[in-house]
Amino acid sequence: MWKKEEIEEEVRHIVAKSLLLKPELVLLSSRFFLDLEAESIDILDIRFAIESTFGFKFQNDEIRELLQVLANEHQVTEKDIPELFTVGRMADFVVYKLIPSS
Amino acid sequence: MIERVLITGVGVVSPFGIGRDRYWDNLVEGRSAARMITSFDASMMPTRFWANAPLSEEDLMQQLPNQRAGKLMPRAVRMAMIAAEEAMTQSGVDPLRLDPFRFGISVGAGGIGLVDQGLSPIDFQMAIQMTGKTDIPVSEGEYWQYLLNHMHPLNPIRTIPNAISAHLAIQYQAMGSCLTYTTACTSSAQSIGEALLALRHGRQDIMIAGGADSSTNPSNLLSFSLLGALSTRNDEIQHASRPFDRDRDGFLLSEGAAFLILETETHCRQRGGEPLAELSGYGTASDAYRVTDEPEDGRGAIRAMQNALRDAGLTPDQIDHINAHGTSTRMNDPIESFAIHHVFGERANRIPVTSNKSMIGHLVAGAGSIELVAAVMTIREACIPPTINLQHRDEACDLDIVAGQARTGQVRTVLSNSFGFGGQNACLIVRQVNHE
Repeated sequence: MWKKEEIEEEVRHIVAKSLLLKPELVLLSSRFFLDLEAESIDILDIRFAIESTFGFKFQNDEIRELLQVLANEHQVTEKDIPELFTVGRMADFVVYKLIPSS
Repeated sequence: MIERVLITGVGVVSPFGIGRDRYWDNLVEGRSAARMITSFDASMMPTRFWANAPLSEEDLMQQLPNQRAGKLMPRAVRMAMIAAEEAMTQSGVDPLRLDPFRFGISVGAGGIGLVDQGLSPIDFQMAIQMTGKTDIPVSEGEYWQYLLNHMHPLNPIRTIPNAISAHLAIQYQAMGSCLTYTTACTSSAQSIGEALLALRHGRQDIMIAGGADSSTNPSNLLSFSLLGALSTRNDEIQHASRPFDRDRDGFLLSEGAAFLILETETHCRQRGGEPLAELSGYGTASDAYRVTDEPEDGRGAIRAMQNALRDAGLTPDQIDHINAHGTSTRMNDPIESFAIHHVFGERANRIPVTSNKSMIGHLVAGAGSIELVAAVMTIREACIPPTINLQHRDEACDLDIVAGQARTGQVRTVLSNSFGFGGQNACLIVRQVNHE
């Protein structure tokens, strides 16, 4: 069973590997596009690595749902989401999939 | 205004490794780049050698100007980026000081997609049959479902045919024409020729032009073997590529990249650039005959050479040297010889002719550009690299082949031939800059 902290650590390392960054430079608060200078295909790469590592597939409607939650939280529209999208939020998605009770 | 077009930088990744000097030194020394295949078990293949660049994926990654973009680059693209960087450095151009909209890219590219796409449906079915695992889904629908779940999402974008030109444009912030030519073995000769036209007619000031290809993989080895195009001289691989020789039996499959910086004379002078040579002529023509056979009358090759001479404003008498396509296949060499005779008449067997493929093998889409770099260096170094392995010249190849050893002496003009499947023919002419 994965623990939340382990998932967060693993996601940070996956992101670092994909973006050729030192893991210590990837924080849970790092924003993919603004802080880490990722592009959209990097997110696809990271998503693939996460699914392979943790052994599940994100369903597209789940992702939409989670993004909507994020938009509501920050009181912004969906098109502004990418700017808010952080490594920690990505880890939250994984936690949600693996530890449903969380 | 018609502009003269100058070559101000060249860069190479060859089967000898990284760098134009390493490439040139090995050419002049007459070394074969052929190696036995060790990257996979080729014992069942009719051809068990090739001329791969002695560089691992990690080696190539380390040399990239932008490593982060490297994960999106298959092998041919990585080699292209390294070769282009060497050319840019030699030219002394600072890309950030150029007018980005008059700075273009022109690339000859090959089967990037075929190599990296992963499993084809046929491969997949065969793999399943071989494992004997009948519980694996094999229906077509399940097969596509399997790929949907397991294929890496970056695969399709890694393998787009315009990957090289796109990455070069991003790397150097070139926002002008961004072109890709996929015309088999003429690809990079055509990409350079078409860049010449764009520059000469004022559409661009400067372009990065050339090509890259990486066919040294099981899939391409299999394909070219099935076509009977490769030498099967497995016992003496260094002697396998023998253009114009009576006993030639096919070409040596290889890989690499070569890029040139092309500039209008005005642009080059204004920035104080140093030209290496002038790119003075380009001709192209189609055989419109058969997909893999060349017509015996050499019509497309002849017309391509004649067009290039006319384009350069030169007569056949003014060509000092021919860098031949010279593949070492049964078909190409005599027809190319015939075509040279037709174009050059009585002088045909007094013009020194060489084939770089005797040493580096056939780079397929990258062949035209890496051979044009040899042509430029031939002019600069006053030395024609040899055609190795010519022991008994084929009587149908009655030319002055530079056999065995390099030949020194001034060379002012070089004509370089490239012919390809589909009946493609392209010819380029380079000229010494101070030739008046």
